[in-house]
Amino acid sequence: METTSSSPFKPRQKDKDEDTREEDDAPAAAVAVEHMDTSGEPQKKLLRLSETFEKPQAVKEVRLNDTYQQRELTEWLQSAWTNEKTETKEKQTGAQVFGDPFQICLLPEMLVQGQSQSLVAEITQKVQWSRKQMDLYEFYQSTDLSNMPNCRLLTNFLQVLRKQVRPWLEKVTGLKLDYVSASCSMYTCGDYLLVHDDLLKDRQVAFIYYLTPWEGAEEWTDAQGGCLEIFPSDEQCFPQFPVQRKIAPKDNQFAFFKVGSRSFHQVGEVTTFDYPRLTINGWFHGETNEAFVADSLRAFPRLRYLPPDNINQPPLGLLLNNVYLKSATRRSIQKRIEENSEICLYEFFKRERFEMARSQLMADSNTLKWRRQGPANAHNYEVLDLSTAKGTIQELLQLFRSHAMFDLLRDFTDLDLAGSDADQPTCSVEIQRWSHGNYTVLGDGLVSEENTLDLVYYLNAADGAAVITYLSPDSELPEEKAPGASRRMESEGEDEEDESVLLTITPVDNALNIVYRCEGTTKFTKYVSCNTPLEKGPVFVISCSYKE
Amino acid sequence: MTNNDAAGDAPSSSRASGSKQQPKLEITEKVRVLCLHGYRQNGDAFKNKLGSFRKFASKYAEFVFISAPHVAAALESSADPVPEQRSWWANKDDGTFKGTNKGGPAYGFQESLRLVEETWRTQGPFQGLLGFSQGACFVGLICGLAKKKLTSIRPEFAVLSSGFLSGSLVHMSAYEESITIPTLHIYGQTDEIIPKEMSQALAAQFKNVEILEHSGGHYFPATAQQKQTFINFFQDRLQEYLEHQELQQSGNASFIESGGEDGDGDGDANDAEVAAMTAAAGSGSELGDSD
Repeated sequence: METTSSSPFKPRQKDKDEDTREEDDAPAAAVAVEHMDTSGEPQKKLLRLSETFEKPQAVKEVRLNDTYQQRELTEWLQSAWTNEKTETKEKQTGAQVFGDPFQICLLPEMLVQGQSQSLVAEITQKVQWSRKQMDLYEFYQSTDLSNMPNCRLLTNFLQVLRKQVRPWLEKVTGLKLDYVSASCSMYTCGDYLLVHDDLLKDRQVAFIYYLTPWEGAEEWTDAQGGCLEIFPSDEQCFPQFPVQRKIAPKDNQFAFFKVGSRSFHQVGEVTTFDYPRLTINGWFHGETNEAFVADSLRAFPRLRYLPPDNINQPPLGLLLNNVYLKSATRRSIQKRIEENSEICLYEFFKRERFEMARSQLMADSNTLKWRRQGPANAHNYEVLDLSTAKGTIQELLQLFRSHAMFDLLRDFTDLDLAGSDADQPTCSVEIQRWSHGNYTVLGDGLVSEENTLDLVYYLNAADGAAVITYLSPDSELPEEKAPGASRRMESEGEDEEDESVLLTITPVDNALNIVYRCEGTTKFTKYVSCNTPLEKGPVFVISCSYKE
Repeated sequence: MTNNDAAGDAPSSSRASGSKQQPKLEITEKVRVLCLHGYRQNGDAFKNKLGSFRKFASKYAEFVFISAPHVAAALESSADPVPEQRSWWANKDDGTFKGTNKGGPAYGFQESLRLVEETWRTQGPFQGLLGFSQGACFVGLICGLAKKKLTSIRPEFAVLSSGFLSGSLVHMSAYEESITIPTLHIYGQTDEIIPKEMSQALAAQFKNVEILEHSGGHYFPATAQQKQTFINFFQDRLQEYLEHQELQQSGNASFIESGGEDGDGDGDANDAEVAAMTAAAGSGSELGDSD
């Protein structure tokens, strides 16, 4: 069949199995299993499943590639794994082992040819997806594979994992692996899973089986996103940028790695609009992971709080719009904050000042020094080295730190930030730069242990960038959280986020957001998608916190 | 009422002369709508089919038509594809498209999205989207992507005729949030290609919905029976647009001066002032800092 040059659609070569795989309707084989025939079908079903334990037979059953059952390969993998070689590749199968920053192994062509397509067909028709959405991730997840009686192939796949892959992995890794948990994950455009170590209880080895049998996407390109991204970590086991290794989704490839205090990874944002990133993934479980216990004692670096600046006295009257200096205004603001715990003051600074500050931040100058704020499992945005601030930016910085500001905020909020009742008022100030891929996640660095007053001020605001959400202290995180512990990923977490959202700040130029945070309130800044248009350039945020 | 210096240059003729870059927002007296045709159609064919419809709405709206970048797969496997038959994307790996298909990918979708984004930018300004069949499915997806800030297209309203929800897994996240912009959903009670239940399912994704049912099948209706609905819909959208423009102007004005000074009795007056300051639609950021 000819195609014109303008059409990208080349009909796939039909292979022999084509006619037995129906993609529009439920596959015929599955239908036979599903029908609750009265003629003794249920017994036949059980028989077929038990057969696969010993010898996977018919074409429709999930079957491992023979090569992975060969002794030489097993021994090669064993040796590569324990030697912790930096990088090595096995010639016959293309299997790869990386030792740095932690052990990870890639096995291409895990199942016999054509089976990933059958699995995708079953997943497309049968799997129910639930949306997982929190600071750390946005993606779809299925229920556990052990809970899918109507998905014959997926159930089959689980049996293969349990009966064949698990004992084999025990040999390769030398670890005791008692049971496996698995579910399907799907990431569509804009979805991601931010960096984490997977440490939880008895997880020993994490695995991912990639399903992407579609023409044009059998192995994903960088432009399509969705890579498994591996992070190095520092001496304190905090993950650091930049990403050390990227593993692109590749059809029928099986990846696994040892879960430990350094196994930091993320699923990079899927940026293609054309293909979903589909996997079967989970963990092999064994002994309680020692690293898990040690990990819970690590604390995040925290913001620096300083007393008010008594030296620099920036002129409030020249910077702020007059209305905010009027005492009647202050009373109204106070009332609002008392009622709502927050307020947004539009056009806080005089327009010319705002414009000057903005253009100074935007100008490509050599004087302003930015550095990336980490660690990667807490933050990814740029922070200004405040000693390089000049001009209007320096003016604003001094203003926020000044005694006059503490006074003003006391008037706005009735907090003891100044005056005779003030104990030891302090503030921290950050000037941040936000662009694609930036985020903060909930973490202990951002839990306020005492009542705090947050100020958030935007310059060069754009929709969808640097959007901050505050969550109430009642929000139940999916798992127990020891103080100082990093967030954890569970295969089936509960998303309490929606019920506990206190406030979401929408970026508006020259608007000062004031938020009174009571003890235990957390906040995060939503991941900025690579597809979010930032036509005006990066978004700048002056973020301040005041304590009594 | 336009700022356009080009004397007598009606917007439609500037469109005909090629996509002129319009760097500044022009104030026009009509809303402008970008139209996306159905499967196996193209921009011109769709425009012709909508002749009566465009006449009905012409007092309030102006319509721009583009063609999808992909040629639809031929109907018969032995035949050649017809270049005039276009497709926004395929949802089966043989390169075909059917509204009822369920699958993973949407082959070629990204290229089409980029084309619509480019058109939105270079042939704009546009306020609304209109689509028929696959085009309506596309419009629904764009509304979802716009809500998630994954595209530069920002529809303020939409018309979806014989539309349906995409059966591609890759599109699932576009339907995560309910869409709040005003929409008009049109479908035929006897449509056999896209049964009305499918169009109704699409409408359920939207909050601000007007439904227009007609007794016919799979086509865009434009008889006397629909005329008033179309007129009302675009009249309302134009009004909203003009009101929004007005707000923009006044939002940049200097602040309300307070009546009294620091006297206690002025609590109310200053509450109003603070309210104006703090509750004023913060829409200035989106359309640029126009000072």
